[in-house]
Amino acid sequence: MQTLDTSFAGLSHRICAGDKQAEGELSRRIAPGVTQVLVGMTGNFAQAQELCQETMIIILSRLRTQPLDDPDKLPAFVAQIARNLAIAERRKERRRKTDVDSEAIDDVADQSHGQEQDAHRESAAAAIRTVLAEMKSVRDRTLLVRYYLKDEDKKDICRELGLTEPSFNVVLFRARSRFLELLQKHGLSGADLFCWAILALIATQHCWSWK
Amino acid sequence: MTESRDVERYVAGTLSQEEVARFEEAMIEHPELALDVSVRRRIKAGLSELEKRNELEAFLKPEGQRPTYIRYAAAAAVLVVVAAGLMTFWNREGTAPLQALLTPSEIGTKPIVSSFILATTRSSDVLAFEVPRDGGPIRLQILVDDPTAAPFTVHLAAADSSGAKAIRDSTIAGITDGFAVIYVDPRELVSGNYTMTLKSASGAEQSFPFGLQVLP
Repeated sequence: MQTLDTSFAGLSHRICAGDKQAEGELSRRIAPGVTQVLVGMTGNFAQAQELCQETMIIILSRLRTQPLDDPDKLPAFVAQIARNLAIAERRKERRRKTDVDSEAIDDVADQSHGQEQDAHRESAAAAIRTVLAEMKSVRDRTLLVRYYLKDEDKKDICRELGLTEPSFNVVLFRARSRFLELLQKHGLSGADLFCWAILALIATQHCWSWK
Repeated sequence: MTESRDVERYVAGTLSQEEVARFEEAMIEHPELALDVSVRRRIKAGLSELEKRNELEAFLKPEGQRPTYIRYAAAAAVLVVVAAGLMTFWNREGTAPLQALLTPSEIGTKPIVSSFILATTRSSDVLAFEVPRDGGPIRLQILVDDPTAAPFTVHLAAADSSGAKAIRDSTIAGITDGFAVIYVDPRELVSGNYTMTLKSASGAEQSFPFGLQVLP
Protein backbone atom coordinates (compact mmCIF):
# COMPACT_ATOMS: atom_id res chain seq x y z
CA MET A 1 0.00 0.00 0.00
CA GLN A 2 1.31 3.45 -0.91
CA THR A 3 1.43 6.08 1.83
CA LEU A 4 0.70 9.63 0.75
CA ASP A 5 2.96 12.43 1.93
CA THR A 6 0.85 14.79 4.03
CA SER A 7 3.66 17.14 5.09
CA PHE A 8 3.39 20.69 3.75
CA ALA A 9 6.18 19.88 1.27
CA GLY A 10 4.39 16.70 0.18
CA LEU A 11 1.02 18.41 -0.16
CA SER A 12 2.60 21.27 -2.08
CA HIS A 13 4.16 18.85 -4.62
CA ARG A 14 0.99 16.77 -4.91
CA ILE A 15 -1.11 19.89 -5.57
CA CYS A 16 1.33 20.97 -8.27
CA ALA A 17 0.94 17.50 -9.81
CA GLY A 18 -2.84 18.01 -9.99
CA ASP A 19 -3.85 15.93 -6.93
CA LYS A 20 -7.33 17.22 -5.89
CA GLN A 21 -7.31 15.18 -2.67
CA ALA A 22 -4.17 17.02 -1.57
CA GLU A 23 -5.97 20.35 -2.14
CA GLY A 24 -8.77 19.21 0.16
CA GLU A 25 -6.31 18.03 2.81
CA LEU A 26 -4.38 21.29 2.77
CA SER A 27 -7.55 23.39 2.94
CA ARG A 28 -8.89 21.39 5.88
CA ARG A 29 -5.62 21.71 7.74
CA ILE A 30 -5.00 25.43 7.33
CA ALA A 31 -8.55 26.86 7.19
CA PRO A 32 -9.08 27.05 11.00
CA GLY A 33 -5.81 28.98 11.45
CA VAL A 34 -6.45 31.28 8.49
CA THR A 35 -9.94 32.07 9.79
CA GLN A 36 -8.57 33.03 13.21
CA VAL A 37 -5.86 35.24 11.69
CA LEU A 38 -8.63 37.02 9.82
CA VAL A 39 -10.96 37.22 12.82
CA GLY A 40 -8.08 38.87 14.66
CA MET A 41 -7.70 41.47 11.93
CA THR A 42 -11.33 42.14 11.03
CA GLY A 43 -13.05 41.42 14.36
CA ASN A 44 -15.85 39.91 12.31
CA PHE A 45 -16.47 36.13 12.14
CA ALA A 46 -18.60 36.28 9.00
CA GLN A 47 -16.20 38.48 7.07
CA ALA A 48 -13.27 36.34 8.21
CA GLN A 49 -14.90 33.22 6.77
CA GLU A 50 -15.41 34.97 3.45
CA LEU A 51 -11.81 36.19 3.32
CA CYS A 52 -10.62 32.72 4.29
CA GLN A 53 -12.25 31.37 1.12
CA GLU A 54 -10.43 33.99 -0.92
CA THR A 55 -7.13 33.10 0.77
CA MET A 56 -7.67 29.42 -0.09
CA ILE A 57 -8.32 30.25 -3.73
CA ILE A 58 -5.11 32.27 -3.97
CA ILE A 59 -3.00 29.62 -2.21
CA LEU A 60 -4.33 26.74 -4.29
CA SER A 61 -4.01 28.68 -7.58
CA ARG A 62 -0.38 29.46 -6.70
CA LEU A 63 0.48 25.90 -5.69
CA ARG A 64 -1.22 24.41 -8.76
CA THR A 65 1.09 26.35 -11.05
CA GLN A 66 4.29 26.43 -9.04
CA PRO A 67 5.31 24.77 -5.75
CA LEU A 68 6.98 26.93 -3.10
CA ASP A 69 10.80 27.05 -3.07
CA ASP A 70 10.71 26.30 0.64
CA PRO A 71 7.43 24.47 1.42
CA ASP A 72 8.22 24.52 5.15
CA LYS A 73 7.54 28.25 4.98
CA LEU A 74 3.99 27.60 3.74
CA PRO A 75 2.38 28.72 7.06
CA ALA A 76 4.21 32.06 6.86
CA PHE A 77 3.22 32.45 3.21
CA VAL A 78 -0.44 31.66 3.96
CA ALA A 79 -0.54 34.00 6.97
CA GLN A 80 0.88 36.85 4.86
CA ILE A 81 -1.71 36.35 2.11
CA ALA A 82 -4.51 36.35 4.68
CA ARG A 83 -3.17 39.54 6.27
CA ASN A 84 -2.83 41.24 2.88
CA LEU A 85 -6.41 40.37 2.02
CA ALA A 86 -7.64 41.77 5.34
CA ILE A 87 -5.65 45.00 4.79
CA ALA A 88 -7.04 45.31 1.24
CA GLU A 89 -10.56 44.81 2.58
CA ARG A 90 -10.00 47.48 5.21
CA ARG A 91 -8.81 49.92 2.50
CA LYS A 92 -11.84 49.07 0.39
CA GLU A 93 -14.14 49.83 3.32
CA ARG A 94 -12.41 53.11 3.98
CA ARG A 95 -12.88 54.08 0.33
CA ARG A 96 -16.55 53.11 0.48
CA LYS A 97 -17.07 55.43 3.43
CA THR A 98 -15.68 58.39 1.46
CA ASP A 99 -17.44 57.47 -1.80
CA VAL A 100 -20.91 59.03 -1.59
CA ASP A 101 -22.18 57.52 -4.87
CA SER A 102 -21.73 53.93 -3.83
CA GLU A 103 -22.92 54.43 -0.26
CA ALA A 104 -26.39 53.00 -0.79
CA ILE A 105 -25.12 49.81 -2.45
CA ASP A 106 -22.41 49.23 0.12
CA ASP A 107 -24.78 49.72 3.01
CA VAL A 108 -26.67 46.64 1.82
CA ALA A 109 -23.48 44.58 1.74
CA ASP A 110 -22.39 45.85 5.15
CA GLN A 111 -25.78 45.02 6.63
CA SER A 112 -25.58 41.39 5.52
CA HIS A 113 -22.14 41.05 7.15
CA GLY A 114 -23.44 42.84 10.19
CA GLN A 115 -26.44 40.55 10.44
CA GLU A 116 -24.26 37.44 10.31
CA GLN A 117 -21.93 38.93 12.88
CA ASP A 118 -24.89 39.72 15.13
CA ALA A 119 -26.11 36.13 14.78
CA HIS A 120 -22.66 34.84 15.82
CA ARG A 121 -22.58 37.11 18.85
CA GLU A 122 -26.19 36.33 19.72
CA SER A 123 -25.65 32.56 19.67
CA ALA A 124 -22.45 32.94 21.74
CA ALA A 125 -24.31 35.17 24.23
CA ALA A 126 -27.21 32.73 24.53
CA ALA A 127 -24.86 29.79 25.11
CA ILE A 128 -22.71 31.55 27.72
CA ARG A 129 -25.84 32.86 29.49
CA THR A 130 -27.01 29.26 29.94
CA VAL A 131 -23.55 28.17 31.10
CA LEU A 132 -23.48 30.93 33.73
CA ALA A 133 -27.00 30.13 34.90
CA GLU A 134 -26.10 26.48 35.35
CA MET A 135 -22.89 27.12 37.29
CA LYS A 136 -23.30 26.41 40.97
CA SER A 137 -21.16 29.06 42.60
CA VAL A 138 -20.61 32.77 42.17
CA ARG A 139 -16.90 32.02 42.48
CA ASP A 140 -16.97 29.88 39.30
CA ARG A 141 -18.96 32.48 37.39
CA THR A 142 -16.55 35.18 38.54
CA LEU A 143 -13.63 33.03 37.42
CA LEU A 144 -15.12 32.67 33.96
CA VAL A 145 -15.73 36.40 33.54
CA ARG A 146 -12.34 37.42 34.89
CA TYR A 147 -10.45 34.89 32.77
CA TYR A 148 -12.28 35.06 29.46
CA LEU A 149 -13.67 38.59 29.40
CA LYS A 150 -11.22 40.60 31.48
CA ASP A 151 -8.17 38.58 30.34
CA GLU A 152 -6.87 38.42 33.89
CA ASP A 153 -3.95 36.18 34.76
CA LYS A 154 -4.80 32.63 35.78
CA LYS A 155 -2.44 32.74 38.79
CA ASP A 156 -3.93 36.00 40.08
CA ILE A 157 -7.46 34.62 39.77
CA CYS A 158 -6.50 31.39 41.57
CA ARG A 159 -4.82 33.32 44.39
CA GLU A 160 -7.67 35.77 44.87
CA LEU A 161 -10.45 33.18 44.67
CA GLY A 162 -8.56 30.61 46.79
CA LEU A 163 -8.40 28.01 44.03
CA THR A 164 -5.78 25.46 43.08
CA GLU A 165 -4.75 25.29 39.42
CA PRO A 166 -6.33 21.83 38.86
CA SER A 167 -9.64 23.11 40.27
CA PHE A 168 -9.39 26.19 38.07
CA ASN A 169 -8.79 23.99 35.01
CA VAL A 170 -11.76 21.79 35.81
CA VAL A 171 -14.11 24.78 36.10
CA LEU A 172 -12.90 26.00 32.69
CA PHE A 173 -13.14 22.51 31.18
CA ARG A 174 -16.73 22.08 32.30
CA ALA A 175 -17.72 25.56 31.14
CA ARG A 176 -16.09 25.13 27.72
CA SER A 177 -17.59 21.68 27.19
CA ARG A 178 -21.05 22.92 28.07
CA PHE A 179 -20.63 26.06 25.95
CA LEU A 180 -19.66 23.99 22.90
CA GLU A 181 -22.47 21.54 23.54
CA LEU A 182 -24.97 24.42 23.55
CA LEU A 183 -23.51 26.00 20.43
CA GLN A 184 -23.73 22.64 18.71
CA LYS A 185 -27.39 22.35 19.65
CA HIS A 186 -28.07 25.75 18.13
CA GLY A 187 -26.40 24.76 14.87
CA LEU A 188 -22.75 25.05 13.98
CA SER A 189 -20.96 24.80 10.67
CA GLY A 190 -19.06 21.65 9.68
CA ALA A 191 -15.73 23.24 10.58
CA ASP A 192 -17.06 24.20 13.99
CA LEU A 193 -18.30 20.69 14.66
CA PHE A 194 -14.88 19.36 13.74
CA CYS A 195 -13.41 21.87 16.16
CA TRP A 196 -15.82 20.75 18.88
CA ALA A 197 -14.90 17.10 18.40
CA ILE A 198 -11.16 17.77 18.61
CA LEU A 199 -11.45 20.01 21.65
CA ALA A 200 -13.75 17.58 23.43
CA LEU A 201 -11.23 14.82 22.81
CA ILE A 202 -8.30 16.90 24.04
CA ALA A 203 -10.21 18.09 27.09
CA THR A 204 -11.39 14.58 27.96
CA GLN A 205 -7.84 13.26 27.78
CA HIS A 206 -6.72 15.99 30.18
CA CYS A 207 -9.53 15.54 32.69
CA TRP A 208 -10.01 11.77 32.92
CA SER A 209 -6.51 10.56 33.43
CA TRP A 210 -5.85 6.98 34.51
CA LYS A 211 -2.70 6.59 36.52
CA MET B 1 5.23 24.11 20.69
CA THR B 2 3.14 27.10 21.63
CA GLU B 3 2.13 27.32 25.27
CA SER B 4 -1.38 27.91 26.57
CA ARG B 5 -0.08 31.23 27.94
CA ASP B 6 0.59 32.35 24.36
CA VAL B 7 -3.01 31.53 23.40
CA GLU B 8 -4.25 33.63 26.32
CA ARG B 9 -2.00 36.52 25.36
CA TYR B 10 -2.90 36.28 21.68
CA VAL B 11 -6.62 36.49 22.42
CA ALA B 12 -6.02 39.29 24.93
CA GLY B 13 -3.96 41.14 22.27
CA THR B 14 -0.87 41.49 24.45
CA LEU B 15 1.67 39.72 22.20
CA SER B 16 4.28 41.83 20.39
CA GLN B 17 4.06 42.12 16.59
CA GLU B 18 6.79 39.50 16.09
CA GLU B 19 5.14 37.17 18.59
CA VAL B 20 1.79 37.58 16.80
CA ALA B 21 3.39 36.63 13.48
CA ARG B 22 5.02 33.55 15.00
CA PHE B 23 1.84 32.55 16.80
CA GLU B 24 -0.31 32.92 13.67
CA GLU B 25 2.07 30.72 11.68
CA ALA B 26 1.87 28.12 14.46
CA MET B 27 -1.92 28.39 14.35
CA ILE B 28 -1.96 27.72 10.60
CA GLU B 29 0.31 24.72 11.10
CA HIS B 30 -1.61 23.36 14.10
CA PRO B 31 -5.41 23.56 13.61
CA GLU B 32 -6.03 22.52 17.22
CA LEU B 33 -4.40 25.79 18.32
CA ALA B 34 -6.72 27.75 16.01
CA LEU B 35 -9.70 25.88 17.40
CA ASP B 36 -8.69 26.75 20.95
CA VAL B 37 -8.47 30.42 19.94
CA SER B 38 -11.85 30.17 18.22
CA VAL B 39 -13.59 28.86 21.36
CA ARG B 40 -11.96 31.49 23.59
CA ARG B 41 -13.03 34.24 21.20
CA ARG B 42 -16.60 32.97 21.07
CA ILE B 43 -16.84 32.80 24.86
CA LYS B 44 -15.36 36.29 25.08
CA ALA B 45 -17.80 37.59 22.44
CA GLY B 46 -20.74 36.04 24.33
CA LEU B 47 -19.65 37.48 27.68
CA SER B 48 -18.99 40.87 26.15
CA GLU B 49 -22.47 40.87 24.64
CA LEU B 50 -24.00 40.05 28.06
CA GLU B 51 -21.93 42.82 29.64
CA LYS B 52 -23.18 45.27 27.02
CA ARG B 53 -26.77 44.34 27.86
CA ASN B 54 -26.07 44.68 31.62
CA GLU B 55 -26.89 41.02 32.16
CA LEU B 56 -23.56 39.98 33.67
CA GLU B 57 -23.96 41.76 36.97
CA ALA B 58 -26.86 39.55 38.05
CA PHE B 59 -24.74 36.42 37.60
CA LEU B 60 -21.99 37.77 39.83
CA LYS B 61 -24.21 38.64 42.78
CA PRO B 62 -23.95 36.50 45.94
CA GLU B 63 -26.22 33.46 46.21
CA GLY B 64 -28.85 35.17 48.40
CA GLN B 65 -29.63 37.55 45.57
CA ARG B 66 -30.07 34.88 42.89
CA PRO B 67 -33.48 34.52 41.24
CA THR B 68 -36.13 32.70 43.28
CA TYR B 69 -36.51 29.76 40.85
CA ILE B 70 -32.91 28.70 41.54
CA ARG B 71 -33.65 28.59 45.27
CA TYR B 72 -36.76 26.46 44.62
CA ALA B 73 -34.68 24.11 42.46
CA ALA B 74 -32.06 23.88 45.20
CA ALA B 75 -34.74 23.13 47.81
CA ALA B 76 -36.20 20.41 45.59
CA ALA B 77 -32.75 18.89 45.09
CA VAL B 78 -32.18 18.84 48.85
CA LEU B 79 -35.55 17.12 49.39
CA VAL B 80 -34.67 14.46 46.82
CA VAL B 81 -31.31 13.84 48.49
CA VAL B 82 -32.93 13.65 51.95
CA ALA B 83 -35.61 11.23 50.67
CA ALA B 84 -32.98 9.08 48.99
CA GLY B 85 -30.91 9.15 52.18
CA LEU B 86 -33.88 8.06 54.33
CA MET B 87 -34.71 5.21 51.96
CA THR B 88 -31.10 4.04 52.03
CA PHE B 89 -31.12 4.24 55.82
CA TRP B 90 -34.29 2.12 56.11
CA ASN B 91 -32.97 -0.45 53.68
CA ARG B 92 -29.80 -0.82 55.72
CA GLU B 93 -31.46 -1.56 59.04
CA GLY B 94 -30.36 -4.84 60.54
CA THR B 95 -27.16 -5.22 58.53
CA ALA B 96 -23.67 -4.36 59.69
CA PRO B 97 -22.13 -1.75 57.38
CA LEU B 98 -19.09 -2.68 55.31
CA GLN B 99 -15.85 -0.90 55.94
CA ALA B 100 -15.07 -0.33 52.27
CA LEU B 101 -13.98 3.30 52.66
CA LEU B 102 -10.53 3.75 54.11
CA THR B 103 -8.61 6.87 55.12
CA PRO B 104 -4.89 7.32 54.29
CA SER B 105 -3.98 6.41 57.89
CA GLU B 106 -6.04 3.20 57.65
CA ILE B 107 -4.25 2.30 54.41
CA GLY B 108 -0.79 2.73 55.88
CA THR B 109 1.78 1.19 53.54
CA LYS B 110 -0.60 -1.20 51.76
CA PRO B 111 0.04 -1.25 47.99
CA ILE B 112 -2.57 0.61 45.91
CA VAL B 113 -3.83 -1.25 42.86
CA SER B 114 -4.83 1.85 40.90
CA SER B 115 -5.87 5.51 41.12
CA PHE B 116 -8.85 7.23 39.56
CA ILE B 117 -10.00 10.82 39.37
CA LEU B 118 -13.62 11.65 40.18
CA ALA B 119 -15.00 14.95 38.94
CA THR B 120 -18.48 16.11 38.09
CA THR B 121 -19.14 17.08 34.47
CA ARG B 122 -22.30 17.92 32.59
CA SER B 123 -21.80 14.84 30.44
CA SER B 124 -24.43 12.14 30.85
CA ASP B 125 -21.70 9.46 30.65
CA VAL B 126 -20.96 7.88 34.01
CA LEU B 127 -17.34 7.09 34.65
CA ALA B 128 -16.73 3.36 35.12
CA PHE B 129 -13.81 1.60 36.81
CA GLU B 130 -12.71 -2.01 36.55
CA VAL B 131 -10.89 -3.29 39.59
CA PRO B 132 -9.70 -6.75 40.64
CA ARG B 133 -11.49 -7.99 43.78
CA ASP B 134 -8.35 -9.07 45.60
CA GLY B 135 -5.80 -6.72 44.04
CA GLY B 136 -5.84 -4.27 46.94
CA PRO B 137 -7.47 -0.90 47.65
CA ILE B 138 -7.99 1.75 44.97
CA ARG B 139 -7.35 5.44 45.46
CA LEU B 140 -10.03 7.94 44.42
CA GLN B 141 -8.86 11.51 43.90
CA ILE B 142 -11.93 13.69 44.06
CA LEU B 143 -12.12 17.17 42.61
CA VAL B 144 -14.32 19.10 45.03
CA ASP B 145 -16.02 22.39 44.23
CA ASP B 146 -14.75 24.09 47.34
CA PRO B 147 -11.48 22.71 48.78
CA THR B 148 -11.68 25.14 51.69
CA ALA B 149 -14.83 23.34 52.91
CA ALA B 150 -12.75 20.34 54.15
CA PRO B 151 -13.13 18.19 56.25
CA PHE B 152 -15.79 16.12 54.50
CA THR B 153 -17.96 13.22 55.54
CA VAL B 154 -17.84 10.61 52.79
CA HIS B 155 -20.82 8.47 52.01
CA LEU B 156 -20.72 5.69 49.44
CA ALA B 157 -23.93 3.99 48.34
CA ALA B 158 -24.91 1.56 45.61
CA ALA B 159 -27.46 2.95 43.16
CA ASP B 160 -29.46 -0.24 43.53
CA SER B 161 -29.41 -0.64 47.30
CA SER B 162 -31.79 -3.64 47.36
CA GLY B 163 -29.07 -6.32 47.18
CA ALA B 164 -26.13 -4.31 48.45
CA LYS B 165 -24.91 -3.99 52.01
CA ALA B 166 -24.65 -0.55 53.54
CA ILE B 167 -21.18 0.98 53.61
CA ARG B 168 -19.80 2.73 56.66
CA ASP B 169 -19.20 6.45 56.18
CA SER B 170 -15.67 7.80 56.38
CA THR B 171 -14.02 11.20 56.52
CA ILE B 172 -11.56 13.18 54.45
CA ALA B 173 -9.60 15.50 56.69
CA GLY B 174 -7.86 17.71 54.13
CA ILE B 175 -7.07 18.36 50.51
CA THR B 176 -3.95 16.95 48.88
CA ASP B 177 -2.68 18.62 45.68
CA GLY B 178 -6.15 19.98 45.02
CA PHE B 179 -7.88 16.64 45.51
CA ALA B 180 -9.86 15.05 48.33
CA VAL B 181 -8.42 11.53 48.60
CA ILE B 182 -10.19 8.42 49.83
CA TYR B 183 -9.42 4.72 49.40
CA VAL B 184 -11.91 2.00 48.51
CA ASP B 185 -11.49 -1.63 49.42
CA PRO B 186 -13.39 -3.51 46.67
CA ARG B 187 -13.28 -6.98 48.28
CA GLU B 188 -16.86 -7.02 49.56
CA LEU B 189 -18.40 -4.69 47.02
CA VAL B 190 -20.65 -5.89 44.22
CA SER B 191 -20.40 -4.66 40.64
CA GLY B 192 -22.83 -1.87 39.78
CA ASN B 193 -23.40 1.86 39.91
CA TYR B 194 -22.41 3.81 43.00
CA THR B 195 -22.64 7.38 44.19
CA MET B 196 -20.03 8.93 46.42
CA THR B 197 -21.29 11.94 48.36
CA LEU B 198 -19.03 14.40 50.14
CA LYS B 199 -20.60 16.55 52.81
CA SER B 200 -18.86 19.50 54.42
CA ALA B 201 -19.40 20.74 57.96
CA SER B 202 -21.59 23.54 56.60
CA GLY B 203 -23.90 20.93 55.07
CA ALA B 204 -22.88 21.50 51.41
CA GLU B 205 -22.92 18.27 49.43
CA GLN B 206 -21.30 17.14 46.21
CA SER B 207 -22.13 13.80 44.59
CA PHE B 208 -20.06 11.73 42.20
CA PRO B 209 -21.78 8.83 40.44
CA PHE B 210 -19.58 6.09 38.98
CA GLY B 211 -19.77 2.49 37.82
CA LEU B 212 -17.70 -0.20 39.48
CA GLN B 213 -16.90 -3.51 37.85
CA VAL B 214 -15.31 -5.83 40.39
CA LEU B 215 -13.38 -8.52 38.54
CA PRO B 216 -13.01 -11.94 40.17
